[in-house]
Amino acid sequence: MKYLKISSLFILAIITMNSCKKDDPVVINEEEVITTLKYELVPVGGGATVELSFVDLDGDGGNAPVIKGGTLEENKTYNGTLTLANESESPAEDITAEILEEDEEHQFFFPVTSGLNVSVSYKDQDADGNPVGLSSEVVTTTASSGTLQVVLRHEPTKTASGVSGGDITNAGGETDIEVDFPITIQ
Amino acid sequence: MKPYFIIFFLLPFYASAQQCNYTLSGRVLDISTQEPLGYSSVQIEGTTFGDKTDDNGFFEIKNICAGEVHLLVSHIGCEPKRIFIRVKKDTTFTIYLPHHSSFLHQIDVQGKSIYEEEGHVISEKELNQQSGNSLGNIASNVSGVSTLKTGAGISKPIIHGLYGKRIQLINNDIAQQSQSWGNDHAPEIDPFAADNITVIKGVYGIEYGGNTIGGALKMNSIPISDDPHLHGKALYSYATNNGLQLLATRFEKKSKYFKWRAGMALQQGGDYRAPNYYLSNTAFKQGSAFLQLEKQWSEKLKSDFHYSYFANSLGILRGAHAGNLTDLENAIDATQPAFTDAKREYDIDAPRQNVQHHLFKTHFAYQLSDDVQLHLVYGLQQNNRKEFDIRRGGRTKIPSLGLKLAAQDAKFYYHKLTEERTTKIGVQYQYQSNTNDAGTGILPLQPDYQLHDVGVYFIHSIALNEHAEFSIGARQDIRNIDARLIRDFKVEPVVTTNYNSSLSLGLDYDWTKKVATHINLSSVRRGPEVNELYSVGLHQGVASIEEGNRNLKSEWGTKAIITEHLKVGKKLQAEFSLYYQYIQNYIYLQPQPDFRLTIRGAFPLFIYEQTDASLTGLDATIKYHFTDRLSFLSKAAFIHGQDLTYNIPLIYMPSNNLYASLQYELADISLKNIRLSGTTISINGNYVVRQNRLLASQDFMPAPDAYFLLGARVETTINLGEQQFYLSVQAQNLLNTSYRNYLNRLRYFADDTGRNITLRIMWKF
Repeated sequence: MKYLKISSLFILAIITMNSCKKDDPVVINEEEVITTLKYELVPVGGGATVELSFVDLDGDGGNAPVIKGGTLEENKTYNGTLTLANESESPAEDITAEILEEDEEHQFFFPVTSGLNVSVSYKDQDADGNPVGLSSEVVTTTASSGTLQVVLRHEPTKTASGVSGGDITNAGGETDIEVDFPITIQ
Repeated sequence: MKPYFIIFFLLPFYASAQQCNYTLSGRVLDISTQEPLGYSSVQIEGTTFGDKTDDNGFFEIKNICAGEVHLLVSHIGCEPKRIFIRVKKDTTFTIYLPHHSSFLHQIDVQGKSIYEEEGHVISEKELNQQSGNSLGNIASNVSGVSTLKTGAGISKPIIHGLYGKRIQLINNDIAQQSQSWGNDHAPEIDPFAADNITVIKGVYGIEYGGNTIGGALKMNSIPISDDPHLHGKALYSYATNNGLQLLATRFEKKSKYFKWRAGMALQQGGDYRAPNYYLSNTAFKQGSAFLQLEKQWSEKLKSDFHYSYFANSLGILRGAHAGNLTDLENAIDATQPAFTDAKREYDIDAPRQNVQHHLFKTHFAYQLSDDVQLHLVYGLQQNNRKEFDIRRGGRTKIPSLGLKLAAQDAKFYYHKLTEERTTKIGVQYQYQSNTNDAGTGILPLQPDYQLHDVGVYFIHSIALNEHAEFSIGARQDIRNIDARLIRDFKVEPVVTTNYNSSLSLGLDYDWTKKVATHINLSSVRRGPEVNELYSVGLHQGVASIEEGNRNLKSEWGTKAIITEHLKVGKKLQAEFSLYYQYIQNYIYLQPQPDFRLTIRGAFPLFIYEQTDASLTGLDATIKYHFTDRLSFLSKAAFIHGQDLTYNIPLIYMPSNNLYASLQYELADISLKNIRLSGTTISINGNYVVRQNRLLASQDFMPAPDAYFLLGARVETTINLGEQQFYLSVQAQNLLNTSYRNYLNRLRYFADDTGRNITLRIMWKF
């Protein structure tokens, strides 16, 4: 019976020790979240700079994101620069630098809906000589309207057919960003 | 003082060890029908002494020396039984052999039938035959049980259409506590550590926790034998499909102070292969170990201790990591998954899971009087789960989900067992504490919480007459959940209290020895689980966002099962089971009409809602013996799940299926000391019907087509003195058929596995 007594005391001790108060959880900083995407288009040879933006300060869920499209001039060339940030943190975290650091693993694509007379080409390269897309050139022709999509793929097959030319069809990988911007050319 | 007493008790036997003129005689009977088993072999291991039973099951072995003998009793269609006897005089005894087929109505081996012990028993032999398979896959051989899979490596059992938290897993008399809410979270149990597994299709919450409205899987260990010699087994197996290697051992012995049993299993597999390509990043590693001790302290007090450890690390198909809906659509259209390598790899990269589970149990039983026992059971569990995704900025090595669950379970019950009646009255306290890893950098899918549950229960079964047995069970629980959610960058405490109740009635009626009917009626209220109330987040695999719902009420399931067992002559055995379950306020994920817009594009949104549902089904098993050696087995399962509120099909219902096998058992072959027994050749086919009860709006892709898989097995046991060597070669998907299974969550991305040949060698001593 001595063993029984010792064992039951032991059990009781475990129960009481473990059932005490629990600490509140730590509010996690979601460092990886991209809240803000800005696509700045500076016209070559003068004119108004256009900024396309996607802003969702509280991340997925909660308040809906705010998307701002833009109006471009006919037959014009623009220098495009993409910047990404996590503004839920203070100070805001620069995600562009993170992408640049892993540029071999990332590539932006700019698919355009038919009817919108815009073409986008790459102006930057990773260490392997493949495009990244943080820096790009946007060329418009005649007046039209439609959607310009900005897509970021993680671990795409950059060497697959057409991918370095900006064709997303054979890129593979998984999507980190997919944002639609309404565009008017006039 | 006990050991001295035993030595004193043994002295007379040692003194007479030289005499060799004793006779062992007796009778071999079928445990469930009590019918004599003619032509059974009763052999003294390690000698040529033995006998075959006559038509009435009698045997006699003469000229036995005094001392210790091991008898091996075997009969076609039965599981061989090993018996240890100390011979000191002429001895007569009865040996009961259990059926080896899993589908027959089983009665508790101790001879007392308690309705909760009834179920389909997967025997040790069947566990050995399928070693290396997961618990879910092994259980799915029982008609009416299927699996919800995430690729070949993760499978969760589904019993009569219900799975996850609705199914109870009982590991050594303790309800397994883990993150079983996740569809890609498989049970953290190594089936090789169990002696047998009971599959219970009725409601089974009463004794182990009152919150499950589905069936249960129960891992049993039989009491350690009184044999003072070391016995055990060691198993090696190799499978061709993924290069799986398994090494498992277990030992048991009665030592001077206590009885012990210990075991361990290690396995490693590379990438699985579909008929046309490798399923890259599906490699895994798994290890488990257990220790069990039994001690008789005095005539009245005994106790047992159990500790088990389980750990695994497994990769999830790389091509199944869909970033958004576009990726998912691309994957569905592709002929081969993205990121497919040209050869098999053993590396486990992200996405992957690492899981560890500890279970400690201690149990004391005190014999208060001849028929009354008092029991105290205490269980302590810890479950650690880490899931890794492909992440940006070098964060792939940081888990994206890290959960620690600590659970305790204390139970005290009164057990009265007489010839006609069994009564159990108990009180139970359960505690869970779930904690998220704060370093993941991702808001947790499921919040931190503490759960307290106090339950009282009562079970009574009574033999009304020699034909009928009636049983009743009731349980009431009060459950308190204190969850700490993170919403809008702040901690929000939410406390809920549920009252869960269960009632179960059973009637067993043996019309004759040939026909028996079993009826089970049950009603269970289940409070919503933490994930159903508060989960929030993205499911990468299926590119959808899931959200909990705080307004959920308890779900209330009422189930009726009627089972008929038939035996026609010696040739035909059959079991039919018909069931209907009505679930009020059934909790399920409802797709929302609006998509949720995020920076990765628009995602379908699913929110937990409630409806009224019904599950109706039929399980059938038929076995026909053409001759003593040639037999045919067929199993079929049909299920119909309906959402009664919206009058649409319930999703994730198993496809109807039909299985058949033909088996031929060869006569024993003896060559001097070597004897080949249980040599069988079998061939089987499994036809899975397409799940047509699925609306286009309920899934991203139509249900996969019907398929047929062919399998075969050759096995034998080599008996060499007291040692046995079991050898088997098993083939699955012999025709290398390309197919996809509706209940495999990776069906959007890849075909299921192709041909697999498994070689198993087991040494039993």
